[in-house]
Formats: sequence, C-alpha cells, structure tokens
Amino acid sequence: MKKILIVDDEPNILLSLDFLMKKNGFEVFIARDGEEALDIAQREKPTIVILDIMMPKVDGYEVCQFLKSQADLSHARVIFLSAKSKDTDIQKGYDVGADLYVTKPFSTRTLVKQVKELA
Amino acid sequence: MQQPSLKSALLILFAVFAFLLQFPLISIANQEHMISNIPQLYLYIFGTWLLMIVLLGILLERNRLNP
Amino acid sequence: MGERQARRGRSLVNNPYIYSLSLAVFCTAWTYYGSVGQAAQQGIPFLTTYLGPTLMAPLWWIVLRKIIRICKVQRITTLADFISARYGNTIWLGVLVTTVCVLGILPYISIQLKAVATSLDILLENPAPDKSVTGFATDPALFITIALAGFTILFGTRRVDVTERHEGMVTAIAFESLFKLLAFLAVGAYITFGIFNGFGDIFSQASELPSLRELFTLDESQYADWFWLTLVAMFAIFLLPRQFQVAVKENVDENHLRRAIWLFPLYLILINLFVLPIALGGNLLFQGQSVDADTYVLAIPQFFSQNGLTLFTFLGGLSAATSMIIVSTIALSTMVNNNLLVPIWLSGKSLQELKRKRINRALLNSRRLTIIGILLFAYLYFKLVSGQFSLVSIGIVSFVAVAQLAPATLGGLFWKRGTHAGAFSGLLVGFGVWFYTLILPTIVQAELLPADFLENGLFGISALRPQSLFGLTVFSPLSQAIFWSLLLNTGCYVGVSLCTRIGVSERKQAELFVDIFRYSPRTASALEGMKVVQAADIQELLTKFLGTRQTEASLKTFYRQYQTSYQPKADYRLVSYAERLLAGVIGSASAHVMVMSVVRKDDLRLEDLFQVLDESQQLVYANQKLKQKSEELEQLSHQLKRANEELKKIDHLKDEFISTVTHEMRTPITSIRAFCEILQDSPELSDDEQEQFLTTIIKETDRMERLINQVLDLEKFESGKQKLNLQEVAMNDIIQDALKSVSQLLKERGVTIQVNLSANLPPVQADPDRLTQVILNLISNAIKFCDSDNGQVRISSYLVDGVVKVNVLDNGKGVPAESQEMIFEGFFQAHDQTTKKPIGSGLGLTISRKIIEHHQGRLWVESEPNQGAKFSFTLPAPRTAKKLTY
Repeated sequence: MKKILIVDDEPNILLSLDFLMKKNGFEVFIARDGEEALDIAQREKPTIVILDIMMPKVDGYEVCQFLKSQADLSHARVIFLSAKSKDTDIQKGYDVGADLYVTKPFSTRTLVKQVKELA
Repeated sequence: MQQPSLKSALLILFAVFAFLLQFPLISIANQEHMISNIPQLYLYIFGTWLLMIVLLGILLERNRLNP
Repeated sequence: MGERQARRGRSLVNNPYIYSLSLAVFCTAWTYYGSVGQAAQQGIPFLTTYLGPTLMAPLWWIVLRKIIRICKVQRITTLADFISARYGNTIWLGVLVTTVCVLGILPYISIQLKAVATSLDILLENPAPDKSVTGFATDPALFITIALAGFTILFGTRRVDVTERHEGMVTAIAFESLFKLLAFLAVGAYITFGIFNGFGDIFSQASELPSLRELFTLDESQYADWFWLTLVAMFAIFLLPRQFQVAVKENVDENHLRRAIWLFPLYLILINLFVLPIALGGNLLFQGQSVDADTYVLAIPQFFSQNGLTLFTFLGGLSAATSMIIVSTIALSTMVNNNLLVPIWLSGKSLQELKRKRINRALLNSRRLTIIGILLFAYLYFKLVSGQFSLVSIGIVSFVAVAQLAPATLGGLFWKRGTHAGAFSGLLVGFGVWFYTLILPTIVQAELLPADFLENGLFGISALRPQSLFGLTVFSPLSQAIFWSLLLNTGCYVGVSLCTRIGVSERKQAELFVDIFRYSPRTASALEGMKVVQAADIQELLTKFLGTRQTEASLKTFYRQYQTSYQPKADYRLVSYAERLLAGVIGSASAHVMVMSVVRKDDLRLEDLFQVLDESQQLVYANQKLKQKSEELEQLSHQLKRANEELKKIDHLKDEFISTVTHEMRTPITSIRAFCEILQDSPELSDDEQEQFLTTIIKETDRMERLINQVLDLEKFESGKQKLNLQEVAMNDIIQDALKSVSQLLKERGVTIQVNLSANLPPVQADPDRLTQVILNLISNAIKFCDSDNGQVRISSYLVDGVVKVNVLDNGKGVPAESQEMIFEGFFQAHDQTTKKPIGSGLGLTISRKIIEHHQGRLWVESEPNQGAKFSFTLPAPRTAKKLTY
C-alpha cells in the first residue's frame, strides 16, 4: 500500500481526508502541524503528501521546500490543499515545488482521482 | 553648427569694428604714410567704415526672417 | 500736404528709405559747416561724431527696436516719458529729464542759429559781424528765429494728440536730408575736382605744410578724446530728443530698422567723404587770412564767384539747420508740456473740473508758448555765448548733456534692478558735473563770470577746477568732463539702485520694459491708427493670467457661443470677452488697461495716465487677495490629502478583513462539503460513522453561523449602529450566570475554577446580554487555553480606583508579547507574508473589546510566557451607587 501523509490543523478536515484515503486503499498518516509533518515524513517517507499551508509552528511552504530538498524525500508528490486561492498564492505554491495545488473547498471525488494519478 | 541669430551676428560685428576703430588697433594705421597721395589713416578709417556698411547690408538683407 | 496724403494712403511714409533718410536729421549745420571747421583745426577727430553712430548701428536692432516696441505698447512719445514711465511714472524724474534735455539742447539750437546767421552774412557778402552784442532790433538772426518759431508752431501743433504722427514732417525731413547731402557732395566735388585735382592733389599739397600734415594723423594727446567722443556720439544718436522723435516716435514699422541700420551709416560716410579735403583746401587757399574755418564750405565757392553753387550750398546748410531746429523744438516742447507744465497745472485740479475741450485748447496754447520760449532762449545763448566758440565745441557740449541719460535709459532697458532713486540721483549728479565742467567754463570765457574760478577752482580748491576735476590732468578738459560725468552718473545709478527698494508699479514697469519681447512679438509692426488686434496677442495675454488650459477652454467657449471660428484678427467681441475674463482675475480696471495695451488706439487721454497710477494700487490689493486664496487652497488640498490617505488605509484594512473572513469561512465549508460527498459516495458507512459525520456537518454549520453573526456584530459596532440596552447591572450576577452555563464544559475538560467576587460591588450601567457575552468569551478562552493536564481558571472581581475590575486567569502557555495586541484585532494580523496562525484567532476578543469600549471601559491582557494569561476589563462605577446586598 502506498503511504499518504495528511497535514492540516483542522481536525474535521483530517477526519474526512483520513476516511477518504483509507477507503481508497492508502496507508494514512496524519499530522496537525508542520513540525509533526516533518517528523512523520522523515520516518515513513510517504508517496503522497497532502499539505495545508496556514499552520502554526512550521507552515506548508517550509514543509514542501524541505521535502523537495531532501534526496530521500523528494520523490514524494506534494499536494497543497489551502483556502488561499489568489493567483499569487497558487504561483507561490508551485514555485516552492508543489506538484499540485487544490483550493478549499474541494471536491472529494476530484481529489481522489488526482491523488490516484499522482501516486 | 547652429545658425547664429541676427542679434548675435550684429553684436559680433559691433565688437569687431569697435576694436578696429579704437586704440590700440587704430594706432597701427596711424602713420604719416601716404598711399597714392592719400593719408593712410584716412584710407584705413574710410575703408573699414565702408567694409562695415557692406557687411551690415549683407547681414540684414539676407536675414529676412529671423531676429 | 504730406500729412493729408499720409492719411489717405500711408504709402509715402511707410517706406524704409524715408525712415532711414529721416534719421539723417542728425546731420545739422554742425555737419555741414562745423565738421569742416573742426577738421581744419584738428584733423581726423571730427570723424568721431559719425563713427559713433555707425558703430552703434548694429546695436540698434537690440536697443532701438526694444525702445520702439516699448513706446508703441505703452504709447510713449518722448524720452522724458520713457524714462519716467520706466521708473514708476513719477513726476520729478520727468521734470529732471526735461530740464537736462532743454538745457542741453539750447546750445545746440543756438549754433544752428549762428550758422544760419553767419552763412547768410557770407551769402550777402556782408562785412564780418563784430562779436559784441548788436542791437536786437536789427539783428537778422532774430527775425530768422521768429520765423522759425512760426514755422515750427505750424508744423508741430495742429492737434493735441501727441500720438498722431507728423508724417508730413517726416517726409519733409527725408527729402531735406537728401537735399543737403546732394548740396554738400556738390560743393565737395567742386572743391576737390574743380579747384584742385582730386583727393591726391589736395592731400599732397597739404602734406607739404607741416601744420597741415599733422592733421592726417592722430596725436597721442588725442587718443582719449577719440574714445570718449565716439562713445558720447553713440549715445547721442538715439538719446538726442530729435533723434528719439524720428527714430522712435515716428517709426511706422520696426522692420524699417533693418534698412536703416546700414543705410544710415552709408549716408554718413558719403556726407563725410569730402570734409577733410574741403578743410585742407580751405586752409591752403586762405592761408594767412582770418577766415573762420566753419565757413569754408560757403566761403570757397563764393571766393571763386560760383554764385549758383554758393546759393545751392547755402540752401543746403539752411535746410540742415532748420530741420534740426524744428524737430528738436517740437520734441522739446512736447517734453516740457507733458512732463513739466501739465503735471504742475493738473496737480491742483480734479478731473471732473476740467472739461475736455478746455484741456485741448490749453494744451495747444502752452505748447506754442513753449516753442517760442525755447527758441528765444536759444537766440539769447547764441548772442551771449555761442558767437565766440566754434560750432563743434558747443555742439559737443550738448552731446555730453544727453549722454547723461544713457545710464538710466540703457539700465532701464536691460536691468530690472534699476530704481527710480538710482536713475534720479545718477542723472542729477551727471548733469551737475556736466554743467560744472562744460557750461561754466564757456560762461567764463564769455566773460559773464570771473576767470579765476577756472584757474583755481571753486572757492580756490584746486581739486574743483572745472577743467581738471579732482586733479585729473591726463585727459583733455572735454574728455575729463565726459569721463567724470558718466562715471559718477553710472556709479550713482547702480549704487543707489542697489540700495533702494523697488516699488510695486516700478517693478511691473521694469518687467514690461526689460521683457517686452516676451510679451507681444506680433503687435509692434501693426500700423498705428488702424484698430488692428491680433487674436494671438489676446490669447497670449489671457494665458499669462489664466494659464494655457483655462485660456483654451475659455476660447473654445467663446467660439462656440458666437458660432465662429478662430481668425487671426480679433474682433471687438473677442476683445471684450477677454477683458471680462481678465477682470475676474485682476479686477476690471486693471483688466481694461491690460487689454488696451494690446489693442491699438487712436486717442491718448490724460485720464488714462492717471488711471494707470490708480491701477497699481488695485493690482496690489488683488494680488494680496490672490495670495490669501492660494494659501487657503493649499490648506484645503493638504487636508484632502490627509483624508485621502486615511481613506486608503481604511480601504486597505477593509480588503484585508474581507480576505481573512472569507478565508475563515472556507474552512467549515470545506468540511461540510467533504462530509456530504462522503455520505453520498459511501453507502457502506456504518450507522455510527454516518451519525458522526452528520453531527460534524451540523457543528460546522453552527460554526459558520457563529462566524457570520460575529462579523455582523462587529460591523454594527464599527459603524456605530450598535445599540446598547443600558441598565443597572450587578457584575457578580452576570458572572455567576455565565459560570452556570459553562459548568458542563468545565466538567468535560476537567478544569478547576476558582471564583473570588468582591461583595460590595456597586452596580454598573451596562447591557446585560452583551456583558454576558464578554464574560462567556473570556471564560471559554481561558478554558480552551489553560494547561491541558491541570487546567485552572480563576475569576475575580473588585472595586479599585472608582472602577469595577474583573480578571479571568488561566494557567496555559500564555500570550506572547507581540501578539498581545493582535489578538484583540481579530483577523487583523493579515499581512500576506504571515502564514503562521496565532492560536486562538477569531473575532471573539475583538467584539468583547468593542463591547467594553462602548461601555467606557478597557479590556486588555497581561501575560508572561508559560505563566498563563490574565485578561482584565474595567467598567466605570457611577458614584451614586446603591449598595446592593447579596
């Protein structure tokens, strides 16, 4: 099973995404902030990372940059999932190396399809 | 080079001839020498005078338009 | 007759050749007779009188053209007017200039009379007149003078209107110039080629006599004279009253100057060609005889009994003299009238007292009297003084007199800093020195004054010797007179000008004079008398006062209004429209003057002169008002700028707020949507799971509703629409009620709570629901953020310093210093760079603070890291406190 790491500080979002990804055959790991995310990522080396941006301690941009800079982690596909929807925000997301940028609110059906494609 | 205006041409003319007809330059011609029986100074003054008139005439009649 | 013709077609006078020839009124009996006399005695130096004007000619384009333009625009007709107008239109300067001119020119006129008298004697072969004063009754010169007076009056005083040109006179002068040139050339040719064998012959014969040969060259002692006399002649060519009259006032078209600049010197060179030959010829022929060299021109042909030529020559000299007298006298009488008599006469009376007709008549008559007076005085001077001197020596004295006007005139044309005081003092000093060094010695020599003052100076002080003032002996008496008078004149002019302030109207005039070419380049060549106004000039005038854009807009309006389009010649409607526009800016009186200065007018009224003086007062007032207005405008615009900046800031904040709120809204919506989709797509869900998800959806919906309410609440507080339901409220009751509602939450979280409420709290004026909202907000925050394992919350209330204070403490991680203000600003941490969310952001605290502030209280936090947070608020306690007991 492919590993997927879901990072968001909103518990309800974690809950929904956790259910969704498990249902679609992924091994799910969750983190509530960037720091936790980095810990888990280094441990589990997930295939996909779904990343919120606005989080306490370490934000999503930093996590993404870190992942992409590490040889053993850069294989991970990073999907930003954020309410920040301005063109500049999306561009910044891709600039730091994201593979996909999805804005909230999102459709679960679309997201599942996209995750499966990237995996 | 830009065409000099009538004004500056006239000023230059004035300056040149003022110098020619005053000391010290005029003292060069101020000799008791006669050229075909006419005193040198007399010739010099009238000659310069006439030259100035001619130059003025040319300058002013050519320069129809621009002050 | 020339005038009648002139009025018909103006074809005769509007001619550059006529203009150039009219300038030759410069050549008078001085040129005709005097030059020969001077050449016979001194040789070459006689040429300074003509080289000066020749050298000045190229500068006419700058100097004379400017003077002409100014005089046209300001309707100035004499030199006295010019100088007086430039320096503020005061009376005394005009008086001084007129005096200088009259006293300076009287000798000049007198030598004309002398020349006429003497040449008449020679023609009629009278015996040489004795130099003593003859009986006046039989003196032919007196009759000549009277005849000339009559002639002049006829020529010059038909009307009062000073601006009307004497075009007949100008034409006559032009022809006269031609005539005298021809006559002189004729006699010169006759002498040179008829009596002698050409130039070479005369010169070679003369060179055999050492006394004559030295006339060929300049002596070292003559160097200084050569310079100073040339300089003075340069000034004379435009400052002599008669020259000013023909060159400036009678000028019809500025462009005629072009022709004149080279034609006039050509005339001069021609008329001087034979002077030295005639002089030498006379010296050779009349050796040993006491023939006055001034008379050679006539004496020689007569000697050879060439009666026809003698008569022709005499007429040439006569015409030269009379043209000088007539033009000069007219010019001088106008000056005396306008600048001396009329101001004195008018000073006592108001304008209403004088009917126009009477003024005209009176002016005419005073002019005529002036002419007669001038000529009589000239005659007297001739009789008493001039008879004893050569023509040229007296003539030069006049030159030096008018040269005193040069600093003030040239300064007035090119130096804006020249002031009235400077001009007046310079002129006065120059004139004084002139009189002292040049006139007095002649009076002495005429034996009207004791001679020793010449030898030993005034009061015996040798430094005050008139002919070597301050001990200057290097120059000849003439040169030193010129030197000192001009030096002291210019020195005073510059020095005093720099030390005095410029008056308002003076400054305006200074600008109008020095910058004349900037103002109306096209108007000056319009013909006088025709009401020709260029639309371009009107536009220029308007632009000066209204600015380009306003002018263009106003003109568009005008053309639309009158349904016409732009035409080069402005009609009266445009002119009056322009005047009205200007009146809005500078007042109607000043606007009128400004517009009229652009429009050519036929009549010169003295009232206009006085009005101009009035204008400057009004101008100053208008200027002050304008300054005030512009200051107010500045203030207003400053205020506007500040308000604008405020608005921009608020706008920016509003944008931030909106983006943050919408951001916050998306979170619950995201959950709701995700769970809805999951419920739809997952029929395999267990009942428990379904239950859980649906509950979450409902909770998130609540969350959104709460958020929306908070935002609306906040908006109400911000916009001041919030109404508080103020009642007397017991603080402690509110707190107890709030605690009751959170007791469940406390139990769930396992948080212990301590309550310390002071017993004797006075009631406060408050809205109980709102206050409850605040307490609940603070308590729930405390519960949320207190320590997770051993959560403790403490509430206390007490009275201190006249306010009721409530504290809510928790033992959580505390609030970092940099956030302690931000948490009350709700979402206002929004700078786009910040992606780190401070914990606990939301609108709760913001609203709480707003509520407390609306109750005239304060809400704040105190916190140290890891030592919990203490939220406190205060409410004012009114003094009339009914003590409530519990």
